[in-house]
Amino acid sequence: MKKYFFYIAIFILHSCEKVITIDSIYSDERIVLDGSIVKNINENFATAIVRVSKTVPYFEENESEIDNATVFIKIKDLNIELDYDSENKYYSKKINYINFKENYELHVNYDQKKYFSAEKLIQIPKIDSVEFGERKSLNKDEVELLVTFTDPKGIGDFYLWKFGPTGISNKYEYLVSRDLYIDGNQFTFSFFIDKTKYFKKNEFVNIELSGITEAGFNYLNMLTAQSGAAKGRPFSTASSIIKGNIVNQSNLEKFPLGFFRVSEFDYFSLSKKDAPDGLFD
Amino acid sequence: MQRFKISLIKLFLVIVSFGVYSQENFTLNGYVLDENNNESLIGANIIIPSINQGTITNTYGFFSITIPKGNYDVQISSLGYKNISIKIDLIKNINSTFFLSENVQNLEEVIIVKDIEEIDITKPIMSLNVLSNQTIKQTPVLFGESDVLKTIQLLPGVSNAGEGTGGFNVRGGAADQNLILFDEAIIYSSSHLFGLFSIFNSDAIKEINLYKGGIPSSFGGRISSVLDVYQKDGNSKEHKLSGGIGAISSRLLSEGPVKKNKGSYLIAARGSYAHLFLKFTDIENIAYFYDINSKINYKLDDRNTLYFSGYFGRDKFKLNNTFSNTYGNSTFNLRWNHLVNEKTFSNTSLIFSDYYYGLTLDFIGFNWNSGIKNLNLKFDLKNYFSNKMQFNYGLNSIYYDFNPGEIKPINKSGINYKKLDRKFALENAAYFDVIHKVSNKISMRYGLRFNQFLRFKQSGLNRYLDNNPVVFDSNLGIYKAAEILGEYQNSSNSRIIKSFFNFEPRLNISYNFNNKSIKASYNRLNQYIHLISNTNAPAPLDVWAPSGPYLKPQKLDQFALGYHSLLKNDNKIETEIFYKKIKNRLDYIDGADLVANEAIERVLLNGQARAYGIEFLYKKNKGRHNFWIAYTLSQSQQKTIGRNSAESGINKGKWYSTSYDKTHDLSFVSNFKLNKKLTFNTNFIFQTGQPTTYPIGQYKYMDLVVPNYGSRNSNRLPNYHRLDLSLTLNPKKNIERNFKSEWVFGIYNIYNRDNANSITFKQNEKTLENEAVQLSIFGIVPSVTYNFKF
Repeated sequence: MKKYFFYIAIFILHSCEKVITIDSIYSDERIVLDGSIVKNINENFATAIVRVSKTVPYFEENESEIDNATVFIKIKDLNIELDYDSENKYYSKKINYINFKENYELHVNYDQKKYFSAEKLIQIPKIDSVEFGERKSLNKDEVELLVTFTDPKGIGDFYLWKFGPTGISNKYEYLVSRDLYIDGNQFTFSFFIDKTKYFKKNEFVNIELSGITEAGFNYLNMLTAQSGAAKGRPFSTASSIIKGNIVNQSNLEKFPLGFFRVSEFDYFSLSKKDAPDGLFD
Repeated sequence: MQRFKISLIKLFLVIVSFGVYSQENFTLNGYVLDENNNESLIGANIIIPSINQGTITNTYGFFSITIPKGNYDVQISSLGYKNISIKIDLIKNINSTFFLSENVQNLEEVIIVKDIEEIDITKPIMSLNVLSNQTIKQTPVLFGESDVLKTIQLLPGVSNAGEGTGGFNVRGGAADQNLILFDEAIIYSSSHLFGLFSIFNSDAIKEINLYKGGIPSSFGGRISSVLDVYQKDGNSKEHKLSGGIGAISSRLLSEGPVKKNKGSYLIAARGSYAHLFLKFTDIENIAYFYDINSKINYKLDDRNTLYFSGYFGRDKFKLNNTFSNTYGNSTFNLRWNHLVNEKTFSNTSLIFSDYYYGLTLDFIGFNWNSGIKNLNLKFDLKNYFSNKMQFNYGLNSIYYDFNPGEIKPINKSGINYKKLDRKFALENAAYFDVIHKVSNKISMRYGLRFNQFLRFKQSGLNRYLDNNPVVFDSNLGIYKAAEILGEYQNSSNSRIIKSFFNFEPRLNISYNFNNKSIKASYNRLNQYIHLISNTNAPAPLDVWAPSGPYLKPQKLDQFALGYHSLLKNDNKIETEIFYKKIKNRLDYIDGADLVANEAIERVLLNGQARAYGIEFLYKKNKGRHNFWIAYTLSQSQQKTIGRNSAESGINKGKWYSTSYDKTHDLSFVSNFKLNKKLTFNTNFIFQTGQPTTYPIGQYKYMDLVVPNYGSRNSNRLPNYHRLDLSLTLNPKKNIERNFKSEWVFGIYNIYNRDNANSITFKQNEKTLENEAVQLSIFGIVPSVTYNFKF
């Protein structure tokens, strides 16, 4: 809600943006762990993917993947070591033993430090439908997607929505939401997406839903705001380091950045062809 | 407590009964009014040179002075008006009304302009700035729309969080720490259109007083400053119509007698043009504001006057069928001035204030509204006891009704109806205030204010383990909301779940010698209601929350020391040093989501704040060229330490700069009367850039490029500076005719400086390289305004 409000605020102020040069300061190098175990809602196995990298100076190329860490997922007494995939630059493994009861532990050993986190698999509802809508936003290039899903009653649910083309790409957009006001209902919301960036030719756009914990919701809220994905500048909050749910067992103060999440996911695909006539003219 | 109440009443009685002992003395009292329109004059001087005595009119234009029987020359003066001298044979008490006429200039005669007012150098008042309507109107501003809040930011110690942000900051205090009074009604949000304009229509304003320190005990409830805005009463001699047409908005004001010389009315309306900002998109949209001021006063007899004033203002935004947003203040106020006896003036006020915020998001399917209402009953008594002592005392009671938010589904959307529980509180205060001329050299003003804040029982208030709504996860090193254990239980069965009681001593001393004075002041203030906002400047949807079992009142102590000097050429220098210390300043845990938060205490921590600095003001009030130079060197910081050794606190428990901290703040304001037709106005402003946080590295999470930020507010935006000019043209033909008009040509930011409003760090979508992007809001902005009066 706040985001849309900000959007208007910026628009009315004949604002002018320019890129400026700032001397980059680099300090406080940290390990970054981007870990997830995700399970398609229709399958009975999951995939664990863990990226290990470190922080680099802000205005430099961001290539800092670490390939010599030991990464494993621990389920009860079962240790599953992940393999390094040098093409995708991450550690991964298929996880066959997946259910809602177990604690899934992430262990990463690197440079004589031990990093640890533990989460449970989060259940999600299916996406009911995604359609094109007719509302317009202030940006003429944006089209409306109407996303419908049914929130299960009683559970405090937090969702991560991912919008973007199929395949590997840098162009995903993220939205985090919660069921505070929609608990137990079928709910439709709009997401405005730039038609000049997506839906090229016959390209499909995926709308993917996964679940997150409350801590994950807070984490991703801050992360999307600070990565520039959120548009709230005149009323922005002070930026600060974002702490996730992974502990450096060897030195609590020097905590790693990043987050570990375990969830089901569902997705819905659509292309230009699904649009009403005239929307893409 | 009971005993205390009784002794307070006794004190009251003693003070009142003082009034009737002297036989040799008589009282001269009455009002000082503008001859043209019967508008009462605030702060006019009544001086009796032969015995070196004097007084000033109060906010209703009333004065009273008691002196020995005799023949006197009484001089009455007010800046911008011709002095008058009257012979009085004081052999009995005299009640009289005095009229001053405006100092309309003849040719090249010296012009006295009421600028930053002469605060009599000997008075035990400091850290006070007074601005007249005229000064506000002469100051060049954005889009030519003269503006109270923009003008006060040119004074020492006053700034704000940048262009396009609402509110203002006084001496390193937060925007929610200013008590903003509009004809005594409390205003909760002072800006239109995200800070582009203030809610005050300068046409309808008589005068403003800004107390930055040494705040008299008649004020309370906010800890940083008091902005006291008085509306005009309206012309009680003849009907007048005035107005203006500007680039952004138009104004119209009508005033006149209800019954000649007995009462008057004033009604002023102002509105911006719809569609103005959003023309460059073809989607149907609306963005505008409007406000209406009204006032009626009626003199029942020589001892009783009634005033009614009202304000209603709204901002409206609408974007076809997607979004609509309405918010604003409304106030109603009924006051009764009563002259109890020659020496005692009373005022009783009943005031209602309301701030409403409404939002409709059609594409999600809900209506939202939130706000705050209060009903305020006030009784103030001024006793002009002797020419050495004046007593002010009074009572005040404010009932609050907080609506943190209500959400209603529309279009059968999947939103559930929900009303966050309303909160109720009562704030009571009693004060006394003594203005005491101890000797010819020493004057004092001292007083006490007693505050009581009662938070009432409500549903939806939670209970937590050890009464701790926020817990610390020492493993991950983060603060998080505590588990809710159930409904909050208060020990007794009373309706009151939490009460606070505080004393607030206030003291001002002035030592005078050779047109110079050294002043010192101390004040303590408590603030029981808090604006829940973790953004750099207040936003319209921010809600207010009362103190209670979990939120503690903010508590301030301020010390100030000043040196004021009147130079030979009548120019004035004021230098002040201040130090402020605040307890229980709210801070927010990382990632706190404040919108529609049912249990706000679960994301709040109590911290502390401090600010100190030195202010310098040089002003020239007389002659064709008036100007002032204001400079402030200051620091404003806050910190929130862990509640025990295991907790990290916010920002590792270290002091950090507030987002409105400005090390250097310089302004130059000049008004040069070229000739009878042309007046040339200039502003120059230089400020240290606001604190901000730059990244100390970057990383990737999912496929987002995330800047890694260091400690809070440890960097600064580039320095802010700009120059504004304006030219006022009064056509010559104005003098003879009844219809008067003027043109104001203005240029804001004449050298088109790209002042940084913010710097954002983000990945360029095309090149995929990281960039620092500076957002500037206003470049050079020319404007033309046409004003008329007949």
